[in-house]
Amino acid sequence: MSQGSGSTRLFYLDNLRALAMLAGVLFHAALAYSPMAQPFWPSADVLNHPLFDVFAWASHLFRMPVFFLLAGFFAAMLLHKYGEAVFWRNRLRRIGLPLLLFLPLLTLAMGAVIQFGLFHVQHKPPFLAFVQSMLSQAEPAAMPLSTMHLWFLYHLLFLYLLTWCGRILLNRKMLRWFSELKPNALVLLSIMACVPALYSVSVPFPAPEWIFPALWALWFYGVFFGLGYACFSMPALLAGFSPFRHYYLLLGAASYALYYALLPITLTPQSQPEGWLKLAITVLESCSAVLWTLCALLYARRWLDWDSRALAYLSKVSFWLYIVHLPLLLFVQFLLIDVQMALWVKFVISCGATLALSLLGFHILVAPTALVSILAGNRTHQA
Amino acid sequence: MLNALDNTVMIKRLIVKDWQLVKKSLAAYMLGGVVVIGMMGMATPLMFNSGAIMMITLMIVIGARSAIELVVNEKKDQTLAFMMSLPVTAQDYALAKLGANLALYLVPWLLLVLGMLLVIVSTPVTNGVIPLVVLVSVFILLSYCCYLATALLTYSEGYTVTVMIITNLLLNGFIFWIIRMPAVHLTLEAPTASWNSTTLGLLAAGSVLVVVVLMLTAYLQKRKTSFL
Repeated sequence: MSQGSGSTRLFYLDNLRALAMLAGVLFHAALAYSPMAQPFWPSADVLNHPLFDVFAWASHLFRMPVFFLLAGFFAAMLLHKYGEAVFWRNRLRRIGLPLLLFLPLLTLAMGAVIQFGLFHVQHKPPFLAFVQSMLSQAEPAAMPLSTMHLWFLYHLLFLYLLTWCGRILLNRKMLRWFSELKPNALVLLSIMACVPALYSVSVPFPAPEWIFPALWALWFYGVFFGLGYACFSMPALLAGFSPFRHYYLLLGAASYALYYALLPITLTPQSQPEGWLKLAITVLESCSAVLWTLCALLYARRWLDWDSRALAYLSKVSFWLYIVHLPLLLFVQFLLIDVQMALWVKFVISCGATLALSLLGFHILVAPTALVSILAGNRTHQA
Repeated sequence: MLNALDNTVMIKRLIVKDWQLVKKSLAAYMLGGVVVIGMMGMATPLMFNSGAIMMITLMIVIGARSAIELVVNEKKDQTLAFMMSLPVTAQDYALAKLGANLALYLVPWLLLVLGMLLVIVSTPVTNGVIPLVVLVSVFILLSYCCYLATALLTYSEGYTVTVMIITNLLLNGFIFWIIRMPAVHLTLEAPTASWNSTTLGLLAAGSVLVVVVLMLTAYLQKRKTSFL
């Protein structure tokens, strides 16, 4: 992505997006071996280890916020460079079209993978056992409509609509008030802004997968989208945050350590915290999410601003990887559940096989077709 | 009216002018629409019912504001005199007004109705309420067409507001009337939408009336030989 009217490419943003996508595969793979996710993750393995929880819930706090922050940054860039008409054409083509195209296909694929799991897995995870008991009823309940992991694209479209509303409704005085805030005051404001949204849902915050906009998600992710938008609109902002990045990292880590210690042992609805405990967990959750998301951007700006061939490739395939990785990962993990193998080996195999199958799919189904212009962007390696 | 299509450039400009005038209000309504659909999507009885009431209010307010702001106020604020100085005929102007108002109302109306249906289909709210929701939405659209027609044909704030009051009062009566119909209230809690001859008949009647009101307005506008 290039900034302003010039053509200088901001490699660190492409590279950060590629790494965040990779973290997404690791996160979903880790949930199968996480003790906390046992009750609800479809491919939960018979083996698990708390280290997977530590990793999964840490990455969960900042991985999707990073995507929204980047989306806000790029939205501001597109609007600044090309105006509203081109912005909407571009966003509908790059976000709306893939959502319309892949949601039905993924629904079918996910249904097929769950069916495969029901028939072939001997040691059924609690989720599969629940689905089986539902299906064995005389009149099985219809599955709720879901955007699955494409909820990101769905909510992004709503955030673009809200951006349009904001650009019309917010006056200069309000914008100036925001722009005059000191970096740490803005960080504190963002943390406080996230608390009500996170308090209204379970901990750790869930994926807003239902087929209607979740207000808490628009609010929570909207804070990061807004931060990203502000980072483009006020270039001095990132430089203002930069000297504090190590403090943000440490403070985020301390918040996470406390947050993790306070989390319930299993994430069932019955074990959800309430009252002051819930508020404390939510504040810590919000703290880590904001601080680490900013850190990801600041450290990427410091260490990832170079034209890497490997990261350029990963960035190119990341949208496709995002779309297809989940059914593939579940399929691979269903195959592994009944296999006698060390936990870490299963984790490495499931991640590796998912990546390999996704990349194979990209070169067979996407690269030679028109889909490549929608899913692979326009980055060219400049080494 | 066909002659009016010859001046498409000016008609487009008039529509864009109207769009610029109501853009701010529409942005606020869109924001409200997202919040209301999100509220309804929480699927608790309180949130769904509050959301449904707010949705009906939003549909009425969008229509009322656009009819008053874009048609009646044009004469009241004396911008009509400026329009007369432009290279447009009374028919061009009438067509632009009808087109702009319909587009600016129908798009948010359609989005709100689709959003509401999506919420019903995807939440535990029984799908049996779908015919009721569709019929009430079509009645609100018909009401809008009635007061838009009044505004376009008379440019009178008094007449337009009177028709608004009457249609809003009729909306309450209409809801009570259809809810008391056995064909509607017996199927409200059904798991699927039950379209029977009564509800389909009402939907057809509502749709035909919408078309008739719009055609009649276009016909009467065509006969106008001056702006006033």
